[in-house]
Amino acid sequence: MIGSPLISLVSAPCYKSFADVVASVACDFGHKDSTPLEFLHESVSSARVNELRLRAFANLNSINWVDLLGDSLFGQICRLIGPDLLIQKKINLSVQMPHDQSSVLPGHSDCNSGDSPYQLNLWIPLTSAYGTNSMFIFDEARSIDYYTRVKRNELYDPAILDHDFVDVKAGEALIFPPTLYHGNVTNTTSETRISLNVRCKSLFSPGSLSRSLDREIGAYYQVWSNSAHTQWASRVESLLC
Amino acid sequence: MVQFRAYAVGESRGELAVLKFFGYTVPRRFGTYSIPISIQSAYLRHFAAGHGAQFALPITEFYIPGNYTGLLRLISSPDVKHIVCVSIYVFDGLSSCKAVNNQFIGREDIKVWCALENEVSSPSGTLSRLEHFRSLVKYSGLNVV
Repeated sequence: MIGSPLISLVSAPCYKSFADVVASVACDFGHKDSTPLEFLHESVSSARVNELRLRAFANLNSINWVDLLGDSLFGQICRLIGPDLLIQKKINLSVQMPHDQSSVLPGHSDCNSGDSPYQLNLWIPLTSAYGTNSMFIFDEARSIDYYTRVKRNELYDPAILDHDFVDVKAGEALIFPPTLYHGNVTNTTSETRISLNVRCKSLFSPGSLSRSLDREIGAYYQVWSNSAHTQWASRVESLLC
Repeated sequence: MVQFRAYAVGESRGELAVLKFFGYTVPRRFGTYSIPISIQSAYLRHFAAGHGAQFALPITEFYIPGNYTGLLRLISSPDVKHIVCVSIYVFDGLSSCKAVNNQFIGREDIKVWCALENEVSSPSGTLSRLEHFRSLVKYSGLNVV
């Protein structure tokens, strides 16, 4: 699946800063600092994991995560969708503990609720992701099959095969269009997977399919970067109009 | 702390049962409403808490008008006994999607809770009430498309 031209696997050294934030919160929940986050489930029960996740989410969003991400990933994203970018206002955190059903996110496309099909997902595991503790991503053909059935108001319950899961090491990041059908299953490995995800898109690409303001700049996105060219053009436009 | 538990509709007071609400949110216009998903979710969570019910993460419908795949997934699960939505008008247009409509009214074991209208009924009862509201609201000059 990593071989798909739509998916990029890149280096993300920024993950360490994010992992430190999560580890610090985990300590408040009884997790030993010396124990890798992959074994978070040995000290935090699934009943408390959402409380931990919410606290870590708040802490992550209180630091300058946009700049941290940008240092690692901005160049690659520019090459994909240009230098004038919007990014989600909050970075999201997922914690998938072994055998915890509550963290299962069934297969979907982010377009389901009207997100722009032009956005990209940045997926940054803070622990190594593999097999069922990772996520699965379908290729273009199977994603099209999904959309075809949705349009016909049919349920789509495909078999998820081993090779559908992405292997991404801590320190790497996946950049992929969330219009590829993706999700996760019950984690049957012995390790917890913790990952960050955030969406970005070109300032000039079409927006929300549902034409809803809660998927636009303001409620959903913030400006990440404006190229010098765009800044100049905006200035000229405001002078002339 | 006062413990409050909602009784399952129809059960005698001698049998306590904790309700589990399955939320159903809609990211497109329904009736004359266009309510962001985050607002719908927060409202449904509050509604469930007010009824002492457990609240499962909402299923969000597809944004495509006339699409009810999300609802179909909900009613396909035998575990779902209580669906909660912000308004009865989320089902506006369902009658045009015969396959899902028929499966919906086939689940007479489900209770549908429509928060804004404070209506609780079976699927067929819900659709019947919706038609009733539509027949009356036109007198207000409202064009509920």
